[in-house]
Amino acid sequence: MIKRILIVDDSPIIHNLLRKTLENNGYEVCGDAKNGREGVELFGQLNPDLVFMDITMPIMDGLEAAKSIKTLRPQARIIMLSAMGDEEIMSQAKDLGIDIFLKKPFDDYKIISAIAKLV
Amino acid sequence: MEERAFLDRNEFIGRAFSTAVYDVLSTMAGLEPVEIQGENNFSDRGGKYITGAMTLAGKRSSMASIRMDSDTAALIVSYMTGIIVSEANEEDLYDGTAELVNMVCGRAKAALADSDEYFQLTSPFIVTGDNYVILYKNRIQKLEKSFRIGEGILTLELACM
Repeated sequence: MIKRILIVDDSPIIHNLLRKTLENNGYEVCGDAKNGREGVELFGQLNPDLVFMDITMPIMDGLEAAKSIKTLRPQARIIMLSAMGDEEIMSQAKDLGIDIFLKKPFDDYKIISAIAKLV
Repeated sequence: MEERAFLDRNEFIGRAFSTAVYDVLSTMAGLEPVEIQGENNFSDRGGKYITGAMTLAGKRSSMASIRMDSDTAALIVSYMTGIIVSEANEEDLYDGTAELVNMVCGRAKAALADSDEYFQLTSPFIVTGDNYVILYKNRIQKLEKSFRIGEGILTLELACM
């Protein structure tokens, strides 16, 4: 069964880039959200197998959105992506039960390896 | 002596940013930028220029910017996303440049994390137009590095206050 993935990022470029990598590797992008609030809403509607979540976004940031998603479904699988590799942010993500934290830049191998560990 | 220390420090920071430019472009776009020696190697192909910039707050306040012409930005966006160069619209170019400067600064920040040059970052912003310069009111020390990418040039500037 094809795994369904939700992308939450305010950058259309990152959406395009992730979509290209995921679809080329047999995954389905079931939804695109451009901020954390949209991400939480779409998560509730789509029930994806995995979420790619940026951190710095308008309206609701990725950490807050991840917290809401984990409240809705504690076993939700989330990979956080960020250019800011702050120890403090990574520690907060870990406390929220984020499965994997990837620092930008990333290549296809890094993305696919991270997914393979979770789904 | 003081000037030497300043140059060494700038060289240290400059190297972190140069490596970041190379890492980001090679990892995300499969491009291999070649550093050009000398200053003022702005691309001279005419058309619109795009600058992506971020403010760095640390021991010293600085502004990091990446400037290139729209054709070079389109080439990078195309290699990153698979969008055909001629189909990349202005929004793609602005977003791509903002992401690029964000990743370069984030990478440099990580490289400098354990040094005295550690800094925090603001959100990236874009300046664009046909003919513009960025002027600094206060006395600043500028560090400039240029990279050839295909037929275009990307210029990284660090303005330390």
